[in-house]
Amino acid sequence: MSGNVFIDNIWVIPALPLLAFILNIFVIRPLDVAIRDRSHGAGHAEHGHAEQHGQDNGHLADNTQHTVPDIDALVEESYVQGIDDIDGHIATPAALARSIRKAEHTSGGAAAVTLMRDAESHPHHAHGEPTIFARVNGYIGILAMLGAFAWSLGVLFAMLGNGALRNGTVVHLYDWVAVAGINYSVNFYVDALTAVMLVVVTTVSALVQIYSQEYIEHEEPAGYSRFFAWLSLFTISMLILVLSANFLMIYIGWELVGLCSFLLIGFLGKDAPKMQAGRPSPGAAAMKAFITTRVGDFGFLIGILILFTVTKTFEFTAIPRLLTGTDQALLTAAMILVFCGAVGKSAQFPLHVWLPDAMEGPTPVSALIHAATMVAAGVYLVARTFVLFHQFAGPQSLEVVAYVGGFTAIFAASIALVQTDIKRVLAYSTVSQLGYMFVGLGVADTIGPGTFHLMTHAFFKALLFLGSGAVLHALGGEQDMRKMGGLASRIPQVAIPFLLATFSISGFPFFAGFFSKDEIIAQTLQHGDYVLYAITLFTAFLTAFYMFRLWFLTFGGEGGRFGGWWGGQYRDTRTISQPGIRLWLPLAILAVPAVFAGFLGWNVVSGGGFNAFISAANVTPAGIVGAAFDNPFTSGATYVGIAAAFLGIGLAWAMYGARIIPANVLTRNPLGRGIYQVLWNKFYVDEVYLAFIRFGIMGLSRIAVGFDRLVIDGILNGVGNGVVAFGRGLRRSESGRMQNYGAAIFGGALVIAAAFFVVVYFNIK
Amino acid sequence: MFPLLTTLVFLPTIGALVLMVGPKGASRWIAAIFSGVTFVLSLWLYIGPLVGGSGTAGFGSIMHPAWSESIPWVHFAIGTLQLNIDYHLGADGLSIFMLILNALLSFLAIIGSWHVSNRTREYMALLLILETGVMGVFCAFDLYLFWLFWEVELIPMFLLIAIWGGQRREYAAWKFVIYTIFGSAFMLAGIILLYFSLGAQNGAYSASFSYLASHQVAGTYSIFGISIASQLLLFLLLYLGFAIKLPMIPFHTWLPDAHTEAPTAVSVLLAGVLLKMGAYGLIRICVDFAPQGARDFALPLAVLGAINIIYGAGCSLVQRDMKKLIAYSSVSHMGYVILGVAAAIGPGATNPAFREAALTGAAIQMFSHGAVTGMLFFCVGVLYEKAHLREINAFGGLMARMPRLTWIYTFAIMASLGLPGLSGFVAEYLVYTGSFANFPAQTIIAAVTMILTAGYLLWMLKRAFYGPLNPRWAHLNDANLLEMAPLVMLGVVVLFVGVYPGFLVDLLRPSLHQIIQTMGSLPVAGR
Amino acid sequence: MLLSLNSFLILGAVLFSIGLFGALSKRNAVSVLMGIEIMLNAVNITLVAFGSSVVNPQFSGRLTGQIFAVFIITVAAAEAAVALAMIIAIYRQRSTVDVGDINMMKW
Repeated sequence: MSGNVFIDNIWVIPALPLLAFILNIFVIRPLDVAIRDRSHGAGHAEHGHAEQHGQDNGHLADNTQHTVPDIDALVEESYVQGIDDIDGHIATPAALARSIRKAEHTSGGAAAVTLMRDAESHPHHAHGEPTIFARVNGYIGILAMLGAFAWSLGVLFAMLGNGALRNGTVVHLYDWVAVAGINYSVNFYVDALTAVMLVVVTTVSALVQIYSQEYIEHEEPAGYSRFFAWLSLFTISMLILVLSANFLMIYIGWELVGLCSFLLIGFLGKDAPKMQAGRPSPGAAAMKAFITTRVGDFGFLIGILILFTVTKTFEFTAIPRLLTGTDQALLTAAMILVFCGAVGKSAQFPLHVWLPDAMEGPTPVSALIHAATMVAAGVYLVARTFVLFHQFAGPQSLEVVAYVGGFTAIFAASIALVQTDIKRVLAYSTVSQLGYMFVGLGVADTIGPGTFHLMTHAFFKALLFLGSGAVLHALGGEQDMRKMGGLASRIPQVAIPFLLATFSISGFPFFAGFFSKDEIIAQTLQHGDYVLYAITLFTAFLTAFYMFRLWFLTFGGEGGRFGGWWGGQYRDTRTISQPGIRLWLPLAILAVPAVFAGFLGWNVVSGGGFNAFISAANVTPAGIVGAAFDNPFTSGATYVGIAAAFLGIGLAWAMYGARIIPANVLTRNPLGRGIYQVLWNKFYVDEVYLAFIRFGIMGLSRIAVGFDRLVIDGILNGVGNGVVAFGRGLRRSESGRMQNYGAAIFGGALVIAAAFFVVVYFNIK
Repeated sequence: MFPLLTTLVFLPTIGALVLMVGPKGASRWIAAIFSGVTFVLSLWLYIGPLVGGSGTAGFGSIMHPAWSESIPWVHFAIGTLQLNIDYHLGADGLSIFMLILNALLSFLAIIGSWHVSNRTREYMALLLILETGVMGVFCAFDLYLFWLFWEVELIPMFLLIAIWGGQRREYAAWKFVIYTIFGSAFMLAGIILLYFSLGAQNGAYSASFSYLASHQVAGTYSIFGISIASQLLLFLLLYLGFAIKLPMIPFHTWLPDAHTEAPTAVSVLLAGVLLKMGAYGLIRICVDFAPQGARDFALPLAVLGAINIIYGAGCSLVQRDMKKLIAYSSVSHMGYVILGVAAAIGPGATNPAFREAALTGAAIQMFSHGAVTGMLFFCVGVLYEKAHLREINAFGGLMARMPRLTWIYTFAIMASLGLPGLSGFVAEYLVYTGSFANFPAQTIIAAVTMILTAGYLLWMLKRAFYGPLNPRWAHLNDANLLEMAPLVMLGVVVLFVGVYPGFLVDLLRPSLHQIIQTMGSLPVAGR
Repeated sequence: MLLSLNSFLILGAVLFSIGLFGALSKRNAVSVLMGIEIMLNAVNITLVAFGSSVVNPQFSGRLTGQIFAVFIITVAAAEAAVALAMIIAIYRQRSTVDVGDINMMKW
């Protein structure tokens, strides 16, 4: 107990969204469904086929009713099999393309593909209004989030005011299970790291919920309250994760955010895969996300088990005390396994494959879960257990963290260079930036650089995603950047914050991303890790390039003002609808931290105290002082970084803004085309995994089933049939003739008598 | 004192009799009332000791069960051989926990069978008789009585599968019965051997559990010149019966067939309580009465448990029939019980806390699997009633037509794949944490399986419920309130146990602690 | 001359064997029945012989064997009546008394 009212009652923070969730699911949503059913009941009888969207989906635009059943009929005839074949497990673009080709060869399939194409280029999401109860659910969710945000601010200010609080307070709630001296406790832990995470999570959550009101009422009005319920559930889970005081709780939160990610990616679960765009169905993407992260969770769990078996406790605060004298190799293995969990959740190579597909979720979800909060959980996990990594495990563990991060950073950035789907570019950018954070944690002696980037990234990446969502909203769901262009002058209220965030992520001086990224690059140099230095520096260049490629393709381009920077030619014919205030206000609000949050780490403005603040938490290895960050402008290396960013921005401008350099300059020769193909297909990682699953895991499973059916059941049925056959043969002796029986009886008696005689006569013993 | 246990055991049978003489149209109501009353009464098993003032310790262990009723039954002697069989019912924490689960699931099974229109009266009567049999198994405190109830339960089960089952119902029913009887023959041999060895050794013949648990057979038996430790032989003989019921690989192939062919409610009971009889027997009889034998067999048991877990999951992955998939997932999930028990009895100088955690996990898994798999079967049953099909790939996009079923199914699937906050996680996590110290490799195999589990369950969900609606199912209606009722009730239980498992652990602690103490008293690495 | 016990036993055994052969080999049900009657009487002879012998003083003079024989005669009479009734019933049903044709109890 700390004596601080905010910290001692920290349970209020997750309890508020929990309350909203319970109200939503059990009280208001039933009302919502009830009135929707009633208003919809009449409609059912009239258009039978409109039920494609079911009773969950109230009001269907009239003009879509005629095409929908046609597609379904054709799908029924020839397509579903094709979809299930490939989409059944993990859909990859190559596999999707294959299935289109397959479908085109069948009679109905070709027509279905055409119709599918139409449907895909004009997504017909139901339009209608959420009911009043659904809206109330939204308001409750937002209010709860604002309350949680206020409480988090209270915690943060309490810590700013009282340095002792930063060291951490354990708040015991109840014992989950207690057996023979081992407690599986539900404990919360609040220190500086938690406080920062709480503020980040609640800020982004609240803003995303405000934003979602407008977004979801267009995307899927019937699911309005469900969406808010899942968002609240996600926030609860994320807060549990952030507040956890032990490995049990963090694992619980960890899995629960995975659930919410599953539910929210699959929110538009009724959608089919978008074959043309190489996009899987939301259901498949949701499944892939859950299962892929579970692969990481497996390692995480084993890591926890090793630590638990050694120390007999889950508590973060108690484990270091109990670890002294443990075999370092074992601990290194344990920590690398724990890091596996982070690899899965934070979409690091080789488990990054789920995150781009997760973009099938509604865009607010991408912003909240797959950019700002959940994917950062891996970074948080490493930060939370940093002492164990740094002090108890061998140096190899942090090297693994740093190199996995570094490799992922450059790997994902290279894929992002060629993607044309706006959300996928951002997704790969997220993967890449998370890689940066791991580099930051891996090379530095404190958690400062990594978590600093986590925080700034949460703001600017959430902004970028919400901005891209606003673009999608304006264009009626179009995600292909080739069909955009010049949007800046058309939707400036979105473009301005988006541009600021783009500068921020590209590392333009004085923006938030500049400070945090520069700190990581500086750390690699400081620790003499020149490979990582080169990687991070080059990735910074790539980041600036692909982000401004995105900017120019979407908002700028040929014919725009300032040499293509602002506005220009719009490459599609669809009308642009203006986003309302609920969409752009969160962007504007997020722009503030996306621009200025970096000053927390700049000693000229704030004393650069972020590192000192967060390192006061119980996560800094003994003997290391969490000093403030250095002033970046005193080091020459910083200017190299700035140059890399400028180079990237300039190149993007030259290729896509001003079009001085033709965009296909690199792909004219075969080598360039080959590289382009590899990047476009994401290094074929999905295909390799798919093959492994299909031929490896499924193959073994089929063998197991065959063993069951042929060997085990074969033996059983063999024994059974043998007994039956024996009986069948034996019953021949039952002739039904008394005389035969009599002969047998007396014959038997004779044999026994003879035997008896022999025994007695010859006195055999 | 009011004979609560006897009432619980025989009230359903009385219900069945009333049903047979009562009006035909009311058979559902009569069955529901009798099983409902049984369920309500069974709750007193839990509440009684608590209000009795002795707190959670009052649930007692096998030595001093909280509830006990005993009437001398068969007593005769031939020379020095005495046969003493008592009508002895008892209930400690472990029993109470299974009795309540059985009462709950039987009640829900009857509600979930409301739609059965073919020979309703006989169907309901058999369900009630089944309830009696299972109740008897869980509260018999005399080994012979236990065996008697163990056999009694077979008859209604056989008839329920063979009459109301699917297309291959007769094959499935026979397979089930022959498998089980095969096992129980060995079990009976084990029981007789145990009874007479112990009687000859101590001069007192009794089959009461407290006697058997407090005296252990020593020495070796010699069969055809092969000498085998008596306890190990006893353990194996007794365990064979339970291994088939559990089911443990390679004795599991009756399960997919029986599950697939049985009507919904019977599948629920089969998975929910009948498999638990095997697990209960393993803990209560094998481990309690032959602890040294159990310890000697712990390593093979752990290996088999791990194989069970991963093998069942692998088989689930390629199933096309929803029910068969869930049936194989049962094989996988029951593996956690085996692994947990193995870790609790394993050799090695393990901290008793780990042992207790593993055993607690195994026991909670019994409960959790019962409730969760019950939910899954109910979900499939609802779907099957409407579509008359269980082929996963034939569905698609059902989310659009059946939102309620979709979400409750998702809930059940999440519970089954061990999502925190739901009961399956509690069990699995306790088993993992408890068994890692004793059997790390097996635990890792079990942990790998959680990926596969997520894989097959979510893949099923995705194929059947996500994506565009297959127009063939445009006529389906969502689950109605009657169909939702058992699902929601089980869901609440699953959630409650997941969030606050403490109350179950309190219930189990005295019983399990007794076993851990016995294990602790054995010589370490006793070979 | 007093016949020895063995003579009676041999007579009984021979009669029994003849009866057995008749019972097992004859196809006519009435003949089979006659064979069985011969076997019964062979047993009667044996019983009476044992009963009147003094091989075992414990049983001599108690007429045990004779009483058994009387029992058997009674039972044999009843048996013959029932058997003949069955044969007649079967004959009425199936127009045959050939035991080869009477195989209703066959699987």
